[in-house]
Amino acid sequence: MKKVKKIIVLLLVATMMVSSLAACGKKSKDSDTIKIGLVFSLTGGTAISEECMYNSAKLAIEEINKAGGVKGKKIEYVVKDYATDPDTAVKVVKEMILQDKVSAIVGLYTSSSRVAVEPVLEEYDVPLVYPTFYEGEKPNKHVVYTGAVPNQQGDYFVPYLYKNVSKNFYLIGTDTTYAAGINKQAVTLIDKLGGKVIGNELVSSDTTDFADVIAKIKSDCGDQGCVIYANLNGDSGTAFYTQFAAAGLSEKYTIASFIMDESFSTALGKAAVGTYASVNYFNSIKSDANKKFLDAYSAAYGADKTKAVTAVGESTYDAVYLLSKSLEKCGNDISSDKILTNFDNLSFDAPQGTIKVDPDTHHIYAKARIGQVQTDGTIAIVFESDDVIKPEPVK
Amino acid sequence: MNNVKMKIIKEQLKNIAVIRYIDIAVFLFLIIFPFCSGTYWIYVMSGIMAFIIFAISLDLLWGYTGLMSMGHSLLFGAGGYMIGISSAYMNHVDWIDYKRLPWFLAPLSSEVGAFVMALVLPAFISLFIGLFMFTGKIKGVFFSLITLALAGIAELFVINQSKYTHGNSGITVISRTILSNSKNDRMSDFDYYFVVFGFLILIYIICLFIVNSRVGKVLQAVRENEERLTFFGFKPSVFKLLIYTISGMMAGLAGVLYVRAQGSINSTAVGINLATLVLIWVAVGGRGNLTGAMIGTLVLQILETKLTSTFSSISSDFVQYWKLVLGFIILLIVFLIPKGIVGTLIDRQQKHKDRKRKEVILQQEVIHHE
Amino acid sequence: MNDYFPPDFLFISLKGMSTMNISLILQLLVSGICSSFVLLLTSLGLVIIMGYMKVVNLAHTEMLMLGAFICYYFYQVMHIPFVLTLILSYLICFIFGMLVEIVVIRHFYGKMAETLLATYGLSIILKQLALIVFGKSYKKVDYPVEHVIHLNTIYIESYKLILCVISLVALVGTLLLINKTSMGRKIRATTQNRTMTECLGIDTRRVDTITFSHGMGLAGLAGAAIAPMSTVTYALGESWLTNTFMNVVMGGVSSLFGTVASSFIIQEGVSMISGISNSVTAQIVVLMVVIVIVRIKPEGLFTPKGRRS
Repeated sequence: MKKVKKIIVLLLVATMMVSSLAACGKKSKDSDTIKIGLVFSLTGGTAISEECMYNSAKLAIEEINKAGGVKGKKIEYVVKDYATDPDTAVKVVKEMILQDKVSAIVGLYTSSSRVAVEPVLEEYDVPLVYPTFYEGEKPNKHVVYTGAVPNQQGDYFVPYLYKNVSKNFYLIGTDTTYAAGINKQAVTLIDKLGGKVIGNELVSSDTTDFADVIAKIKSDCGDQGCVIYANLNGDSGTAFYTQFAAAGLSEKYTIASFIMDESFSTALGKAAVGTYASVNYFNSIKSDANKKFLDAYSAAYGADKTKAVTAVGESTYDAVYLLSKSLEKCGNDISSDKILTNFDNLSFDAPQGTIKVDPDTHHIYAKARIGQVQTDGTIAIVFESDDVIKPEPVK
Repeated sequence: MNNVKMKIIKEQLKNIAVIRYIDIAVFLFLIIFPFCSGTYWIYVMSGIMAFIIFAISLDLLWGYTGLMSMGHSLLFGAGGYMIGISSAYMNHVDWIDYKRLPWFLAPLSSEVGAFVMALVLPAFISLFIGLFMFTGKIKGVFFSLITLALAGIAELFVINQSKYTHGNSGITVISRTILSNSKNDRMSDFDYYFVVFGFLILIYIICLFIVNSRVGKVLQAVRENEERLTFFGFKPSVFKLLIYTISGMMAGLAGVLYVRAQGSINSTAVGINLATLVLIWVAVGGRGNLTGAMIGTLVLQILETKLTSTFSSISSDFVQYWKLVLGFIILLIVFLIPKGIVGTLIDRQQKHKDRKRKEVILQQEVIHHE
Repeated sequence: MNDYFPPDFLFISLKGMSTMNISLILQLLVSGICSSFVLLLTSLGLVIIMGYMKVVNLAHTEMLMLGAFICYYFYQVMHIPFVLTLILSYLICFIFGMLVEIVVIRHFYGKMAETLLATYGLSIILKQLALIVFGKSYKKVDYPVEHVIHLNTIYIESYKLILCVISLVALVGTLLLINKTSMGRKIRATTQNRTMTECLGIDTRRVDTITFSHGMGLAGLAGAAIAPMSTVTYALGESWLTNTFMNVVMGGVSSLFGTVASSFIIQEGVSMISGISNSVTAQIVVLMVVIVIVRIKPEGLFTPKGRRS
């Protein structure tokens, strides 16, 4: 008898659990608002870099809503944390699509997470606007890219360094697809220019002790000048800059990197001064649009945070605005195909200048800029391409 | 005669441990679940069931044999990566620039071969590690730390061999089936759920068979007092090797199922993070009985999924608090129910039985004296 | 990497060896020695706790992180002198260790799984609290000295030398504590025979608390010392996990001297091999060698033969 009672109790518990789970999270589409999903690393290894992206997205949504929203409808957003893990990214993107029923998604930083969610976007037919600059290979039909690709970055960076710093290059990268791809492209470019590749090193992503790498650099480069083309992830990168400067090598060789941005230059102090960075947006751009952007950012998040506004942050701001423009063109028919097609030739007066979406590739026309870190932690622009450049991702 | 038979069967039924009833309840829950849930939760639960198989494999090793492997994810990820590499190779994915697979990965060019490799490779790895360690009388904390280091090395190795594994970016596995790699073969989330469930039942029955057999008793003896076992003439290292290999194979199977459900695999699947997580699940649920592994995984994983979505819908700033809550929950569990949920239940039931028996004996004494 | 692992490594190492010259080898040797001291320093706290109390402290690397944050706030922000910051870091983590021992660890001696779970929960809590309280921005601690010493073609950052000194001080201090003080004698007695020690009237619970706190304090000290080498973030502990644990295991869990030896073997190995190949392969190779060594000598390289420490 007691055993039977136990079974009944357990069954009751089981059915209770099932019903509680089933009744969760079925949010129906509200016709008064448009729902989009934001996905960033709020915790995890790249949380520091993505904080600016998340803040910029929120700022853009607030501004759009204050100006009346998309054809009168307010933008409602759900934000999920993917903690720099591609598996978590897949999970939360699926959740946003299936449970929260979002119309489009903005976000992601790491290439691995973007690649991981592409099948999900295809299976459930939802577009993603991806704001981070990447290695420019194999773009996906369901993604719109508002970050730079190598022909808008590296293709200008390497020749500039070759002409103005040194013909010798020592390449270092974290053992990731992004850095390896970038460095490979650099090698081809350097060879074409006639420069010399003195070394090509890959380090693991949690390396914080660069004593041996620095020793090798010193031994291999000797007394000739050299560009240290370093593409290292977050923590590794800062460790490298500090140890490199501590070894006294900053006078002899110059570091140039894609990873350098205002969030690092303000934190690293002396170790970053004189090094080069290459993205399409710098905090120090003098334009009305940029001033408006930075003032609004400062009002929302404080002056300190504004000093660390980076290119990916500005790119996210652009992404949200471009998405809202596309949604406006959709009118009442908000489907993935329409959203994607409406991105064609869309232009926006971004803080970095006017950008336009290329209909062939769904990337943006943007200017290439090269900056050098100043003593106060800001990055001054030393080179700016004359006009926006057509994006050429490798299919 | 029939009366006696009935009595015997009744006695046996009475002696079936409560935990088996919990198992039945869990399985019933899992069967009913997809019929009243949305696609998202079905997808989540498929992944959780794969993790349950993983946790059960660890329970065999840790709960029954006393070998605490802090790097079990190595075997899980090995199985998963076999599927991943095979899928990438057969679909001629763009980042592949090798023409032929090296000889030891040759079976990966067929789907069935990939599935077999995903079971065989982890078994090989655990056989190798086992031979290496058990013959050298490595036990206790050393075993744990070495397996921990192996998981750490594996993560580095997987990222480094990016030619096959696509390094940090991981491999996307498109077809949600068991024995197919083509884009067009995709079961719905619903159908795939039951495939995983089928495997779970299969593994469960196999494990039940193992632990209730004589081999299972020897394993528990290894856990309790290995030295004394040798005095009986048994060779503990043979048994340890056997169970480690079986456990490895099951972990590999779990990896396959998980990768198919998730749609991608990356280096976190072999890493220390997952290895520590699965230890937590088994410890929280209770080790030494298969039920604990199931309950622990279910409760913690469902909790994690629900907490993240609840917290992020309250406010984005709250998202980082859920992990803090998890840490406190773990501490609470260690203090209040150190034997795990199921372990404590069994303890209480045992105490209850003991008390009842004492009462009966005392009563008999009283009657005797009168 | 061209083909698969084994032949590739040989090819690269052969090619690499031909490009190495004496000065590079010497430089790698020297920087390897400095890195060994750093590894020793960061592992010291772990050895104390694992060796004398048989507790696997998964929260050890988070204590490193805590020490680094203390260094940031005391030295960088409040401009307290560096040496004083180190001492304060030790003391704060010592007191924190006492709290942790009394509230958490004490109840689980002898129960491996429970201590593991408890320290794991603790490490999660510490990490998340750091994230919430200190935020996500990169925090930089300046080097207290920036001079670079040049001997011929070899250079050593003076801060690395200071780290070696700190490491030696910590090691010698701990050795003195264990071998020369009465508390040290109590610690050794408790480890060898707890029941007998209690019979002699010594409060072993207080001894346990002191031992554990010393281990945590050392971790905090190490964290503060390594803070200038990279940026201080809540994720600082993660990159030290595998190395510190493997170092302790290889050296023999209960032998301080063994840990010293293994620190050198591991770090020099990594340095030299990464001179030939790259640092990822170096780490993998060295760790595999460590595992083989542990297999051959499971008690560790230098296990106390009963009395020695």
